[in-house]
Amino acid sequence: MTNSPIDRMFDPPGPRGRRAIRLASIVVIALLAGLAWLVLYRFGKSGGLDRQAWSIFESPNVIKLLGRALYATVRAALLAGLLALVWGTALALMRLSRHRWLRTAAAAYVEVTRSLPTLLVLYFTILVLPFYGLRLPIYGQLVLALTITNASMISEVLRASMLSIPAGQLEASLSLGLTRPRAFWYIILPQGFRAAMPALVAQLVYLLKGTTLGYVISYEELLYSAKLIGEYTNFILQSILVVTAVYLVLNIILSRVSIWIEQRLSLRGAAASSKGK
Amino acid sequence: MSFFAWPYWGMFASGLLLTLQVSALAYAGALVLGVIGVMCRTSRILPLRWMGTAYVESIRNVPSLALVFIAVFGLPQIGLTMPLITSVVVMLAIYEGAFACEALRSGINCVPVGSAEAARALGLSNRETLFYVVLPQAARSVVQPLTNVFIKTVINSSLIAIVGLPDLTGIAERINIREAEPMLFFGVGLAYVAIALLGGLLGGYIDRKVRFSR
Repeated sequence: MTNSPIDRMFDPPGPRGRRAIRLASIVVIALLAGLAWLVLYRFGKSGGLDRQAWSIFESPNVIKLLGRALYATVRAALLAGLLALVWGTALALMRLSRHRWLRTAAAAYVEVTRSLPTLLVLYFTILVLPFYGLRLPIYGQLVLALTITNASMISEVLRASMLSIPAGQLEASLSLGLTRPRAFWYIILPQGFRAAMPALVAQLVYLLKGTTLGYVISYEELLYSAKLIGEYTNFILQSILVVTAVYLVLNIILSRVSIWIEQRLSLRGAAASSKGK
Repeated sequence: MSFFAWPYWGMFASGLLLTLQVSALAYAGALVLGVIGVMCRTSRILPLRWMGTAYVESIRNVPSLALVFIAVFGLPQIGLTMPLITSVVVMLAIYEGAFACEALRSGINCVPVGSAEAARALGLSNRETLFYVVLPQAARSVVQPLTNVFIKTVINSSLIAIVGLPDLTGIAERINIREAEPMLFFGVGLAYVAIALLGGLLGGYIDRKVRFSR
């Protein structure tokens, strides 16, 4: 069970405290059950639980549509993630560069794009860029907008993790005769990536959530398809709830992977430091 | 065209006002939900703890736009209608509340166990330890994370443009659909950057004011 730091700070409750907690638990469970029943009752009374409302998800066409939408969502998130990783790495390296103008330019770019809503960037790519003759397919527009905002977040993560690498690593590489770019490429960057791995996987959760913006450009991802199915069958609440559950499952898996990597890394770190002693 | 003759100042100002209003309301709601959530998650009553964990873990892993759609398109189907702006603010507050809860929990995690032990060794009761030793330290370390939640709330409030409300992002879209006005995008972008910058500065100022001098 999730344990809270409060447990470590205070003594475990005595017999009287335990009795009070048991009583309170029963009351809370009763209240929660009542609340759940109220929601379901309300939902059921307006026909939300009818067989017919959910049978739309038995139709092979709906399932095929959702499958294609899932593929479109994952495809956009993965390509944007890959591009954002490349661009974000470049930005992070620029911010650690020795040339002041390069550092300043990258810092300004990151600070600006980090505080822009992806939706605004997306509107920019669909409304303004064509005006200057740059016409991308809608898939490309979504990926471009997601890349621009996520790259600056990834660059911040990578910069922090590279700064956390002990300075001795760079000094040692330089004194062994590596040039500065090579030292970064072979020594600092790989270690930085390893330390940043949990945060980078967590960024995928953010990207996956961001693909819902494809809705505004009619990119047929999950949420757009849910709205489509909902308008077609008049059961929009059901269809949105179903795709929300899909996002939930995908993202919880990603979050678990991120936590798992973090634990593995900290285990390895602990092993390394105990060996050093 | 001169700076003052720019025809979109009025719309720009109304968009800015709407963005600020929605984010301020949603942020206030998120703080309340975050405090309730963290109380549940650190409670000794296990069902409350499960409920808090379920809230944070589910909401954080769901797109905010899906939540907005549930409120705007889904709930009217079962006869639950709210004014558009209310449903949007409520959903944003629920979404950001999960992140506020995580920020507050990280604050409690920051408090060294030793200081609670010391407080009890000095004879403070459980209640006194919590209110005079643990919570004040936790509150001082959450200013920066909560500032980040505020900046994220402002950025996320742009979603209300999708359901047709004329916030900063909304007016940039509306005007550009009629006529190409790239300057407006730079103005709106600057406004977001300025809000994030000012919020960050204010957060940093409060953080410096309340931090313990160690």
